[in-house]
Formats: sequence, C-alpha cells, structure tokens
Amino acid sequence: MALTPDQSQSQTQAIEFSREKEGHSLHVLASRLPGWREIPFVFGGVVFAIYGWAVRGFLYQVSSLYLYHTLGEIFNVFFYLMAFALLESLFVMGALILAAFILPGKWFKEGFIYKGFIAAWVGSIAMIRLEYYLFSLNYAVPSMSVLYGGMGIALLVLLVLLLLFQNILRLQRFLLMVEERMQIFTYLYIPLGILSLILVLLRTN
Amino acid sequence: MNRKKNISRRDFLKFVSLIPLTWLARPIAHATLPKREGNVHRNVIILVFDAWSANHLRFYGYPRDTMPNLERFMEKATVFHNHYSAGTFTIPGTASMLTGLYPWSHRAFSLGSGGIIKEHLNDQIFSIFSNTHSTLAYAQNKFADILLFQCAKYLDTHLKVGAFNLEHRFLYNFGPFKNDPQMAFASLENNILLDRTTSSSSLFVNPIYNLWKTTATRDNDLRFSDEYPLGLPDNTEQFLLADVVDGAIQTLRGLEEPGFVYFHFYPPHENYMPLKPFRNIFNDGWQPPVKPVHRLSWGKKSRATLNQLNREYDEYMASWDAEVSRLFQYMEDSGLLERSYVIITADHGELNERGERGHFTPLIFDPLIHIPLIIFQPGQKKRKDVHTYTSSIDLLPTLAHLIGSPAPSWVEGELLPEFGGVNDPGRSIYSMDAKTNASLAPLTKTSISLTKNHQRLTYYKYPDGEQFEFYNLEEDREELRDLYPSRPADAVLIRDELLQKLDEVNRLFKA
Repeated sequence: MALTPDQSQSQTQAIEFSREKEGHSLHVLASRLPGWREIPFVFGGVVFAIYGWAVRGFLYQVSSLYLYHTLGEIFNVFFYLMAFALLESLFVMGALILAAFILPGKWFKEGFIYKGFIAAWVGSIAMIRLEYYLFSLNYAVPSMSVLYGGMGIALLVLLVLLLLFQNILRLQRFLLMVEERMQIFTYLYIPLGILSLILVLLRTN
Repeated sequence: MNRKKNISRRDFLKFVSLIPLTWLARPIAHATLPKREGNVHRNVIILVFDAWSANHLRFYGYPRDTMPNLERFMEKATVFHNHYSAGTFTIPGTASMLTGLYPWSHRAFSLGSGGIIKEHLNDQIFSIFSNTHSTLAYAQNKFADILLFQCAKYLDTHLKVGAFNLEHRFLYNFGPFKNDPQMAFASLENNILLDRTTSSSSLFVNPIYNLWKTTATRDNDLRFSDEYPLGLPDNTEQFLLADVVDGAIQTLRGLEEPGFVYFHFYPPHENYMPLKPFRNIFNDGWQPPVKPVHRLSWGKKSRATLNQLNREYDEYMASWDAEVSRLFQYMEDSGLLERSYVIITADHGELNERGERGHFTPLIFDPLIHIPLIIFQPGQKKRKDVHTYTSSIDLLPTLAHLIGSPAPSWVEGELLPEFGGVNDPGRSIYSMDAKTNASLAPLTKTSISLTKNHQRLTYYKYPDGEQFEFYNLEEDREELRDLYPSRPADAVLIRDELLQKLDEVNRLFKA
C-alpha cells in the first residue's frame, strides 16, 4: 500500500526523532560509564590482586602437585588457574563498572581512576578476611551479625578511604603513580590469561 | 568302470533324519567346553562401600550389631574372614581393586588427582569384561571417580559422581570439562573451588562460593532434620541414603545383561550422619579397648572424641544397612541374584583409635585395612567361610577366572579360595600407605605392613626415623602388644621378606 506524501513525511520525522532519541540515550549511557582512559588503570589493580592471589595458590600447591603429576600436567593446572583468573578479573572489573553506572555520578564515577582501585583492593582484603573467617569456623554457617558487621566495616573503610583520597590531592597522585606501575602486570597477565583460556578450550573440546 | 555316485532321494532323507541328533549332542558338547561358556553370561556386580571396616561388623566379632540385614544375606554367600585392602584410603585401595596390582605398581597412592600410571592404564578390570559384558560404573567418591575416568574407554556407561545426589556441585565432570577430567579436577576441585583450606587460587569467587555452599548445606540440613538429626551425608555434594539406593535399583532395572557393574557407594564414609531411628541406638556404654595415642599419629584426638566417633560410625553403618538392604532385596526378588555374581567389599577400612580419626593417617592397623569380602554365587544357598588371608588385589584375577578368562599376566593377586584358588596359610599380604611420597619416586616416606601366618609386621619408613612394629594377631587381635622391641628375633624372617620386597619395588624407580 503506497503512502501519501503527508504519511511519508511524518514517518521520516518519526525515524529522525527516534534516531535522535537513540543517540541521546547512547550519549546518556556513555556519560554514566567511567572514562575509557580510566578503566585500564583500575583494571591493572584488579589484575594484580587476582593474578597475584592465583599465583600464590598455585605456588602453595605446586609441591604437592609435583608428587603425582608430570611437569606438563602441572603446566596444564597453571593454565586453568590463569584462565580462571582472567575471567575473575573481568567479572570484578565488570562489577566495578556496573557500580559506577548505577550509583550517582559523584559517588563513584567521578574519580573512578582512584575510587575503582580503592574499591577493588578493599573488596580483595574483605574477601581474604571472609575466606579466613569461614576457615576458622571449619566452613560452618557464619553468624549473620558477624557477616553484616564485616560488610559494614568494609564499607566504612571504603568510605573513609574514598573521602580521604577525594580531599587530599597528594594521595591521589601517589595512587595514580602506583596504578601506572601496576599496569605492567596487565600487559603480562592478560596475554597469559588469553593464551591459557585458548589452551583450556582446546583441551576440553 | 566308473559308476556315477549320485545322492539319491533316499540318501538325502536319511541325512535329514539325522539332523535332530545334533540337538542331543548339544549338552555333551556344552559340558566339554571350557568354563567360560558356562559363566560368561552371568552378570558380575561389585558393590563397594567406602571406608567400611570389617572390624565394625558383629559377624567379624564386633560387639554391636551394626548391619543385621547384610548379615542375614551373608548366610547365602561365601564370606572371607581375613580379607585385606592393599591401600589405606580411596585412591590406592580402589586402584588396587581395579587393577589387581599393589599400590607400588599402579602408583596411585598420593593424595589428590594423580591416578594409575600410563603403563598400567589398560591393565584394569573393565578391559577384561568389555568384550563379553555391558560395562557400567558409578563412584560416589570423587577420587574413585577420577580412576573411573581413566577406565573410560572400556566403559559403556559411566554414571556421574553426583548421579544420585541431592545437589550438583562438581565441575570436573560437567560440560566440556568431562573431556579433560583429571586436569579439570586438579585445577577446579583441588585448587580453585576449595574448602577446608585457605590456599584457593580464587580471590573473589571461592569465598562467595563457600559462603553460598555453607548456607545451602545448612538449609538442606534443616529441611531434612526430621530424618537426619545430625545433618545430611555429604561428599562435597549432599545426598540422601534412600536416593542413592533408589538410583542403584533403577540402574540395575535397566541393566543390559550380561553386565559388569561397579557401584562404589560413599557410605559409611565420614561425615557419619545416621538416620533418626538409628541415632543413639548404640548408646550402650560399651567402650573399645584403650589404645594409646601412637607416636606417628597426625590427629592426636582424645579417647572420648574417638569413642564418640566410633559410636556415630556404627549408627551410620546401621542406617546404611537399613537402606542398602532394599538393594539386596531387589536383587533377590527380581532374580538378579540368581543370574549374577555379587561381590560386596570396601576400598579400605576406618581407624578411629590411637589418636587418629578416619583414614587420614600414616598408621596401619587392622581396622583400617581389614575389610569385608562377601561373594554371592548364583544358586548358592548356604554360607561358606574362608579364613585364609586374602587381598583386594585378588578380586580381578578371580573375576577373570569366573568368566573363563585366564588371569592377566600383569596381576599381582591370586585366585581366591573357593573360586579356583587354594588355601595358602603362609601367603604374604601387603598393605601400604605412601600419601606423602612422590608417585614416581622410590618409596622413602611410606608405611608398609606384611601380614602372614597370623602375624603382622609394619614398617614405618619416614625421613625423620624408621620403626618396626610386630604383632601376633592370633593372641592379640587388637594389636596392643608390640613384640618387636622385646622379641626382634621372632620377626627376622618376616622383616627380611618385607625389606627385600621394598628394595625390589624401589629398584624400578631408582635413577
């Protein structure tokens, strides 16, 4: 069915409006995300913590692995760990970006370069505490008051650190310097993680 | 003069009339065939109970009646009174049963994901049956399951470790990982998602996973607290005893006969979680003999704790007996028992004494290695008793013999008495532990026991010292009086034999 000139014009306007709206939405979406130049700095800190912990776990177990596995098999275990660490790093980084997206801009997005880093490290230390706490309970169900208390303390520490770093420029600069140095680990660990993931995929398919 | 010899119609009819005679000849021909033809169509069903000590059965002299239903069925079976596991925990115990080899040969004796060495990968029980029987295997213990993965090419059906469990948490047999189970196990189960230790390689996922797991475990425990007052049985995944038995019955219903079936059940392995009707049934005041904490004990548990553990172990065993008796009943009612050899045994025993808990120990004493062996033969109506010392490595050659195959050349075991073997009172039976020794290195951190002529010599060889212990099992079944310090001369022959054997097996791995 052919359109009348009026119908055609109004349809074109509707499309343009929709495109404009879409562009506006994308713009709003992008404006809520942390700056693309900030993300690698934070990711460096995340990668350092997660891969460092993974290597620690591997070194802890390598002597016992050596008891019953060949060198090649031990490398395979290492590849599994590195592949998992890559996925875990992406997961944590994704969570930080999501937090920046959801929370009011002033809370987390602005200054993401140091706020994201601090959040990642406070989160890492909280997780280590949680692991040791569960271990101390012999993996029985923890008391909720202790868990909530722990979460409260972690949030408080995070808040204090964020306020401290927000107001003291010198601390921000120091942290940025640390982040810059940590970025080297991204160049080292991420290719290793990708290579390991490929090897694991090849082994399991 | 050539006379043409044509077959006449009459000749042809005479020939045809002889054909029915061939049917008459069949039984004669059948009788002269080797035994293989007679038994090859029988099913062979092995039921393994994990960490099941013979010393906790009334039949073997224990004061508590822990498994009355099983003992009723035993009246129609051949029962071995002195059967010993070659290993002291699941990996070596199961590997020895499956290969007919001592742990020093198959080398699966370390804690973790190491399995049978490549040289012996084809030397296992499923390879014998794969040409004549449908083969089906299920292990509810993850370490035994890893060994089954090593046997995969001879298995028609390999049921998942959690096939009958309440929940499914294992990853090594999930999705693509089942194509690389051993490495996935070593990485995921033994390194990334870990509990009982803080050495996990995952910084964020593992604590969250453990938090979720403990909560889910608690919720399940609460959900079933009416049935299981102490909580649900747990092999990393929780399960109900009834579900496991139902699953096994269901599997046997669909068995393609003749079948070779290997069921490795987790109970009565720790944690001991008795059903409500059996909770406190052994609150009878009886206490096992006092046995001091051993110098090499890792656990150093108090006597009160161990007595409590023994009581819970017995109650859990009674709970398992009540459930698993439905499986025996099913086999009897369905006629499966009449068409099958059914073997009930264990991978190793349990040692809640001398400071030790369970089987995480370098010690070797009777409760840890003395395991039941019960064999039902088709048509057997009366119990037979075998008192000769036998080993778990004897199962493979015996089963091969039952289906008419010769004992494979690789096996170190012998035919069991009553099943083609002879009663040899002087036979040497070894059991060993080397969980901290490298798999492919000489045995330098090991405990080895040699049992023969009602005597047991145990050699503890560790870098910080060596020690022999010598017991007379006829006079001192509880192994309370170590005779080695006072009568070393009595142990000379048996000691030399053990040391010679150790030297022989170590020679293969010396540089």
